[in-house]
Amino acid sequence: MPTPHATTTEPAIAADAVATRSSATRWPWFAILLLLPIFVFGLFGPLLYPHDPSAADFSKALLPPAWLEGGNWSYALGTDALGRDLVSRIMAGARVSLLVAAVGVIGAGLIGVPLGLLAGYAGGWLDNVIMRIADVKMSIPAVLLIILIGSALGGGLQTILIGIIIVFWASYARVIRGEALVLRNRPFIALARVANCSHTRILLRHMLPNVMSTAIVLVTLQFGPAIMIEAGISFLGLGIQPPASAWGLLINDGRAVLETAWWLALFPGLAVMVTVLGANLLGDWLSQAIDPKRRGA
Amino acid sequence: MLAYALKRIQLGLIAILVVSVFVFIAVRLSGDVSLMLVATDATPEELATVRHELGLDRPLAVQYGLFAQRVFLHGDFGTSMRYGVPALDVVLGRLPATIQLAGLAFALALLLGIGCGVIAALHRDQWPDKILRSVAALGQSTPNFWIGMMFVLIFAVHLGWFPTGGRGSLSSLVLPAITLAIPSSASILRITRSAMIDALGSESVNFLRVMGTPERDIVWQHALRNALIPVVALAGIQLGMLVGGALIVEIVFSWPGLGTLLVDAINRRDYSLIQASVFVTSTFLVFLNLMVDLLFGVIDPRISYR
Amino acid sequence: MSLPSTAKPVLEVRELKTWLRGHDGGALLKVVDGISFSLAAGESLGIIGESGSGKSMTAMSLMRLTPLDAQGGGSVVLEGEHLENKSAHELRSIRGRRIAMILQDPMVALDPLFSIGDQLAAPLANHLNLSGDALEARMIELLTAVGIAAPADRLEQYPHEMSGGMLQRVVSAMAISCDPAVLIADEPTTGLDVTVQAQFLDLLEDLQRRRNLALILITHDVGVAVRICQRIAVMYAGRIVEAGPMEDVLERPAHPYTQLLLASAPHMGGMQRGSLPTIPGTPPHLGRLPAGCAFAPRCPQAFDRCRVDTPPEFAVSAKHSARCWLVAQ
Repeated sequence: MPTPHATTTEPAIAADAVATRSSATRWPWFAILLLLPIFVFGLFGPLLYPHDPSAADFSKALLPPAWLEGGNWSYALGTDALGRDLVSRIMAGARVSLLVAAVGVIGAGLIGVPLGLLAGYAGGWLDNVIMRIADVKMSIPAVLLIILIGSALGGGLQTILIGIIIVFWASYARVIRGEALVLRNRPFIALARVANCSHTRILLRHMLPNVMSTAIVLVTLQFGPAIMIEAGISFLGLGIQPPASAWGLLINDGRAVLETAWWLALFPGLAVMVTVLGANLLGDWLSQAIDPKRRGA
Repeated sequence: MLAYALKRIQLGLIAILVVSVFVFIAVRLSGDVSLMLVATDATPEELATVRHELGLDRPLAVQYGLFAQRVFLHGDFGTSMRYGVPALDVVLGRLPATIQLAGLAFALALLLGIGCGVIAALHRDQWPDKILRSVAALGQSTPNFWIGMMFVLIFAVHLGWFPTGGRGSLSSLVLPAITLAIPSSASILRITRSAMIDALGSESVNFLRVMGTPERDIVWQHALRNALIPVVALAGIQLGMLVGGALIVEIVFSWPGLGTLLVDAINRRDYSLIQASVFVTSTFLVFLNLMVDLLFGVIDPRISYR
Repeated sequence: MSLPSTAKPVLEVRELKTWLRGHDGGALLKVVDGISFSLAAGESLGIIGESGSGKSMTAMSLMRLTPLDAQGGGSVVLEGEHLENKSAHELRSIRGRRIAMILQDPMVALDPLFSIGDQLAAPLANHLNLSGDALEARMIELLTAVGIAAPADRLEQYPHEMSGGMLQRVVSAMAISCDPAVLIADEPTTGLDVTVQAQFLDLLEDLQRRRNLALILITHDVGVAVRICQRIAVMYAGRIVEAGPMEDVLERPAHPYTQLLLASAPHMGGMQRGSLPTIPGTPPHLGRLPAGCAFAPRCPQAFDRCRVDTPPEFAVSAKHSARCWLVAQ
């Protein structure tokens, strides 16, 4: 019988013989579980609120979470200074975050993907210009950029949406450009040129479908960061404005009463964490799932 | 090497130029400044006079030209409405505090991130690796301003180990720096880990083993140095995010740096201050990125030959 | 399969086995399945076979550098010492010092971030404790021995500044730097230009003669092995299927696989027949080896017994043997 080498053999190149795949399962159950609440609240929000998120009731101001002394199970996570139920406000915030992040990253994609395709396909000065702009944009931190936009446009929904689009388009453009560069040299593109296809046709019918899967992965990967940035900007007061609920706003409200009403800051933050974690995990899983398939093609 | 350095410097200067354009446009878009400088019942003639003085009736390109001239040659961003002194002076006065915070956070992030990344790579798929990766995932998913607030709640308010805010003794630096470092160290951890795993599996490490090189030399001299290349690249990007993050974290800890200044300026619509802050911050970042690029050239001998 | 050698052997390998787990912990792959040979100082052995035959893993197993979860067995005796009983620490001092290896692609084997001098100095410092002037002198001596001009300048250069052929010479210099008894060259010419290959093989032969090395040359290219090896072993599916002195095996190949290999080799006469004959079929999956002889499915001369019983080693002549039922007849 063969004896194990383990005692005398050095740990050599792990690559082939040792399984390199981490725990990539068929479906990312944990990530889906984490994201479920935001989608449920986002889609069905108003039907589910235990209370009206903007209804003030001073008799119920600053109630602690239900399991603590003075709490009330009708207001499970407590209330704020105006007596508004935290659970409802968090749910309402989910709706806003989902909307903003989704519209933002998709919008960024709508700009970034075509630009990346153009840059990779056309090359030359167009490529240069687009990439230089992307480079410069990337040298300005996201927060700073959005603050700048905010100071120009005033705060509010349009600021945060435009801000997210401007911050995120460049990553799409970079990655898609790389793909386009590779695709451009593939035989089937050359064939299309020989067949006298116009550039537009080539871009739309041949190149675009091939980068779609990458684009979708990118959208998923950007979703988490978009939510984080929205929270940060709302926290600064430059994003969603009261009386609407946004998680960043809720956390900011909680700051003033941190020592006494700590729950107002804690739970919205947890909501952000759970959602972003779920989105990041989903994005990671997706990029792993799609990648090997592409390599095999 | 020289050609490479010059090229990076050139790119940096262009970046600064573009930033100045952004800043200029942003302020122009935000409304007619002249309205703020005159009384509400000013006559149209008085308004026109003020506008003429400010040069607002000239073509946009000319206005930018004047603006650029003022900014680049004289460092003149105007006078801060709130403080009554040149905006640039106010900003430069606050800059050291932010640099101190971001600098310490960066050092922490590198130390923690690279150190833990190497540990995770060496114990791949075993429990230290799994724990570190989970912590890193959490670190990247949690807003740092919220972490900061929780730290204040636990360590300052309840335990009383650190002050709740402000800049003073060394202990006031601890919580803000750690808070700021967390998301960056998580990213650095992940990239160090994967770069180390690649390096440890590479042919050149195989050859080193064939030659009987001691394992610790393999890990710390060869594998780590090769792995650091992508890490340094990421670190450059992280710097930008750190400075951006600092702006928000400062508010949580009432740290008297550029962040608190900027938010305050926005609330008061102090445009000179906003312009000066954004401009100085961006220039500073471009400079830092340039340093990182040059560092690249030193670490990797292949680069200078491109 | 034992290859008897005339003088006292410097390296004796008995029933060396290395079995790996496939991806996802699937079937057990018998990558090296009972290799035996011995080698004396100054002798050169060529191990040839298609990719996947287990040649490189044999070399790694000799160096005791198999993956952590590999199973194996057999013995490797280097200059009288059993390597399979040694600790990791002891093995490290043996590798590069008493047994050395040249890998296939020097551009990838050398670390791009360190200068040639730094990398060449490493084994000398680690194993021989050389430093300072003695170290530098030795490095220059080594680079000269492998035919590199202006050695002092080369020490400062980086791998990407040198050609493949030159780098392979540097790798060779590193390999012989501590005067090993055994040198393994794993596909040393595969990554080189055709014109440079011949020069490099000459260098190997020269080094071997001058330093009385026991040389194992692993390659898929028969012509390369023929050029400098005195003995030859043919590997298939983890086993040596034929072995013997080079002229004997070339003139009267006994195993059908050897015959096909020789026929399909460009240098060996395949060209004369107008087109290159290839060996039909593909090598077997090492986790699903057929019953009987592993080569039977592709063998043009296979008969019933081949598919049932695995043939043992049969002597073709005094030093030449093959694992084939045909020889038994």
